[in-house]
Amino acid sequence: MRQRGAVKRAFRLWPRGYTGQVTLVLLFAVLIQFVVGSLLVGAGEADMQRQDLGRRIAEQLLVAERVIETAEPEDTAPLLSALSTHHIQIDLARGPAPMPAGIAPEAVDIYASILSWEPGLARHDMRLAITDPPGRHLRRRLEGALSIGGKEWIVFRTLQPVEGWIVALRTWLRVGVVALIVLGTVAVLVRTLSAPLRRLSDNSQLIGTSARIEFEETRGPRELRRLSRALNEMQDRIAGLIAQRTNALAAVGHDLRTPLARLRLRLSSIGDQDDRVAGEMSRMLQELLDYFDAGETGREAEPVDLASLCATICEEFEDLGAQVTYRGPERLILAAHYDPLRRAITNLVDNAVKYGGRAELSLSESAGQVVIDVSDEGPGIPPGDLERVQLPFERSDATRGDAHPGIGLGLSIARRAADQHGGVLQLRNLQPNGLSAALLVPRQ
Amino acid sequence: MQLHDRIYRIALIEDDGPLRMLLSRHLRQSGFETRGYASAAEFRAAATEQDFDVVVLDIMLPGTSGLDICRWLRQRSAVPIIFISARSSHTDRIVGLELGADDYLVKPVDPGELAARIRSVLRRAGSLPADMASEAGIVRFEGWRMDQRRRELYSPDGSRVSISEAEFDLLCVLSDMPQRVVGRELLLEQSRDRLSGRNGGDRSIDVLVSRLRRKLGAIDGGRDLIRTVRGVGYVFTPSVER
Repeated sequence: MRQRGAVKRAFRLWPRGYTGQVTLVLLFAVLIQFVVGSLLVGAGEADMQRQDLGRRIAEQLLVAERVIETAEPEDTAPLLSALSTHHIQIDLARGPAPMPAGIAPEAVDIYASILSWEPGLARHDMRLAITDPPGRHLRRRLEGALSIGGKEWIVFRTLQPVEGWIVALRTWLRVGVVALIVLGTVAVLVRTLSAPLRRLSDNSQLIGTSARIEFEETRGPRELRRLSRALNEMQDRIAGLIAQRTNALAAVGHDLRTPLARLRLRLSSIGDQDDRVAGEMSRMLQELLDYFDAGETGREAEPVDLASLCATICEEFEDLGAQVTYRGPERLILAAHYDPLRRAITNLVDNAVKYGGRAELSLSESAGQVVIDVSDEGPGIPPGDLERVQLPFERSDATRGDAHPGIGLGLSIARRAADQHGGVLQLRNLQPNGLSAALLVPRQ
Repeated sequence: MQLHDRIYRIALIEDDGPLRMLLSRHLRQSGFETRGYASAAEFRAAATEQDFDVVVLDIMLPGTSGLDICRWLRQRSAVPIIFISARSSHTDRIVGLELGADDYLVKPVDPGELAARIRSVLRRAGSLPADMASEAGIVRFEGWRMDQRRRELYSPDGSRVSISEAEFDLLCVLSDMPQRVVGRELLLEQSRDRLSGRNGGDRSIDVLVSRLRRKLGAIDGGRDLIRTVRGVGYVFTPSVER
């Protein structure tokens, strides 16, 4: 478990989003650029500094050499001291060598640059060393001595640090600031660039849930535009396929209506009052066609008086001899799609009358939610089937082969109407028996 | 409102032979003189020679569709048109009504319902000047709005109020004769196509009126729209605008 957690955490370091990933990649790139760049710039600056130092030392040494050669011996010491500048201190030493022979390894480059500036100095014995003043680690200085004629030494010492850590730090800072600015700008740009992608992915999640989603084909990078076009075409193809299927089924349904109408008329014209079979067929067909129609809302939602709608439905069933009572206010207005809602309530009452013998249709409103409840006193639905019966063409096993024909679309139609209104269809068994089917519709 | 002054002539255009025959027979039994035509061509030939009071049209016909005939008819006359269609979707209904049809019925058509709708469009056509007969079909009273073609009723606050087909017909008859006493017999006569086979009689008219009154009465003042004249009938009290 712990390992898994660790893996998960490590995974999270790699961002999931496109922006995050691109920014991280850029961060690495900029980091490399920063390190290499600052190394190169640092090296360049150090080299320049060395050249500069070498030139200065070379010039001063040359002058000092001339002074020793030309001035009176007693004047040389003060004259040499007078050559000292802000950067270099110069003194005269007589006698033994003031420092060990040879060039310190760190000073080889400076020696080379001194000689490249004044090759003449190569005649003399030059000694160079780097000293670390105690307690001042970052201020290393160059010290050197040049032997003139074997007994006089020009001793020199830099007053400024040789390798400026400050300089190096400044370089790093500058390069670092540039890197940060680049990174920030790039992050913003990547975000802007990925906005169409995000929009695309957001929208593509909506495909198939509602009306057609139109993807922009004219904005964003070429690849995204191509993807948008592909998605649009895909939606067209899917819609085409569905429409084709639905049309085929609906056409069959419609074609059946004419002979069915003929059948009913003939039955009634020969005085056969019992046209139950034709009536059942006609209802089943209506159910199927209603189901196909349920997808289209027809028009915008309009304020509908649900109380009169419920009462009218109840009365229509009563006129057919069913026992249906309405309980609710005299008036209740809700923005709704009239036809789908009417169909849904009619289906619920029809079910209740078929299976429960009698029905009570009640209308109420609580907590911003309108409840249209149809309760019966029938056997209810086995708890395991409550969800399944709401699916198209599914009927509870308990109702199969009974005297009530249907093709299992009544509740699907009701459920679709509930969806259309942002509500739900709730089925539950009542105690001791009976079923309550309720449309719960939120008031927007 | 004397529907029996003369016999009304109905043209029924339906390509399905047996259905045409059966519907014609039913309409004749309901007291209409009915001619059946199997195609647009047949009907056009007949329509140039004689006039009809109502045209009942199947939308899906071989060759020329019912919608084309409707368009053709509308260029020539304001004769009431009732569509019968196997298609029940809302868009089909709207298209039909937009083209100038006066009503729209879905197959399988209940013959009683068809006769009731025919009477209803005849009454509308008869109660209005000819050039207005097939206009919007909107009736207004006391802020209420009744769309006779779409068979929709809206209360003064704009909400749609649901009433049954029979109640709608009743309201149509009453609003056609505002501020006059309408006898129960006439109402019964107008509703007979729907009430037949039910526990008919005066009683059912009273039930219809009381249901209608209750639904209208949910709005303040709605209850007084229909007043009972004891022993005679009813009065529709508001003034009606079209």
